Amino acid sequence: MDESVEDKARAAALAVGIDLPAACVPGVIDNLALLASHAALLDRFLAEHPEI
Amino acid sequence: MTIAGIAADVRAGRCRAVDIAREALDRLRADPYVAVTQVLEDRALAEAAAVDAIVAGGGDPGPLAGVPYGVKDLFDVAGLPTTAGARSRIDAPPAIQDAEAIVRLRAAGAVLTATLNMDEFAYGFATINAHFGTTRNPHDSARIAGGSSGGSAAAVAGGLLPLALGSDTNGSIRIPAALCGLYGLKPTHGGLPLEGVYPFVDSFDDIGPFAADIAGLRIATEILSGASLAAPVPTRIAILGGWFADNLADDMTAALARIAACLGAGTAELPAVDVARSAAFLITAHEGGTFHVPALADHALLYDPATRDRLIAGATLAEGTVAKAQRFRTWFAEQADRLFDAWDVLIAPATPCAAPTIADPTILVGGQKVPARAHLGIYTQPLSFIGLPSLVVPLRDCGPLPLGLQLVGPPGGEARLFALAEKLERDGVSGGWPAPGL
Repeated sequence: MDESVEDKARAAALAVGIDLPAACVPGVIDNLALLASHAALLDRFLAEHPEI
Repeated sequence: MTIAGIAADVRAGRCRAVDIAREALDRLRADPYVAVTQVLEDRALAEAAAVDAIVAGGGDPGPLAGVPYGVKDLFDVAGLPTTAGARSRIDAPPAIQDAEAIVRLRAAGAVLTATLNMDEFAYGFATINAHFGTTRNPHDSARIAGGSSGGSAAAVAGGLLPLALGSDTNGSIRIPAALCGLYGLKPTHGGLPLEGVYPFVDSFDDIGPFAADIAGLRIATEILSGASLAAPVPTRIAILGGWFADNLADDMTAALARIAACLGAGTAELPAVDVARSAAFLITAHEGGTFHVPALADHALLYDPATRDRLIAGATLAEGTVAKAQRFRTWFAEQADRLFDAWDVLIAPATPCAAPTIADPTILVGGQKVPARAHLGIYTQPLSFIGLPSLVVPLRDCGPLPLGLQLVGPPGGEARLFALAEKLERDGVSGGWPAPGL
């Protein structure tokens, strides 16, 4: 596993008050990537439609 | 027996609510579908006896007299912990009072008999529950029932109960109703009482009933809403294309074509539905995750890993991203409003295909196999995203397994959806699939 990705996941969880157990790390990383893809689609659309 | 049939017999004194409750309790105890989480024998017999006492005294217990029903395990039931399908809540403090929906059904004579299985914290479309088990589809026990209200759907589809309540945030009533061959209603957002229902995502949460016939669904909905739902049969009907026509199995494509011909329906398209689904995903993950942060910080490892990791990731989403999703939501709702200037009812598939197998709970989206648990809602999620009412009708003659369509109206448009569903049932196009063995 990419250490920087794992560190980012741990830091993001800690920022909301969750000390991420090791068992959660792979699943959280996968879900962060999925959410990032949804956020990217939303960002692209809003960039193309500044009136929204 | 139908909801209306049971109530008519009990009100007329032709049969006793206690006898009907006992028969339902026997079926629930023998549940072969992993639909039931708790059988409420003492409570059911007491409520049924109270109904019989009213009849014996010359009174009218109400339009649901003696009708046994169950609730998804996230409705507060006085004296019981509300588990929301979670192992971590089995020892939660018992609810002090019933959820408002239960109060209303009881006042109409219905008899609460069971709590029913669900995805943990309602976060899934499959009712694959790490603690309470995977609910099986009564029409093929090797397949999922859909979720997250899968226990409610399986209990009705399997003939254990004539009526059940579920909740729907992104499709959790509509998907299991479609996969199990039932009618199911997701109301206009906030249209039915949410008091005493364990929350998932405030922006989208709703409750609604399941039934095998449209008359029964109407009675339950009118009791829950406290309103009569009368409207003429709508005539301006369109099939939603674009996003809603992609990824369909052949049986569903054929079914939509038959419906379009039967109704003389036009076609309509909503813009940017893919973005709507993504925005719904983001808001769901963030609101759901944020609600669970205190519990996740305390006992994350008691969660089902598939639920837990989604919730944690969602909790970390930046507020700015969520604000953008909400901004898009306002715009998307305006686009839907414009469509309803031209059309009374929009029709969309509830799912792309029939129920996936439990051994391989995946579906094809964009030619890729993806988990059904997260993706079965591709056609439901963009519609509940903007709070539209959606009534699922089960199709007849659509193949070996149930399929369902969403009848979608503008906010507050439930009455026209019932009028159209009743026409489709009269015309023999839709109808609840008979329970196996009945």
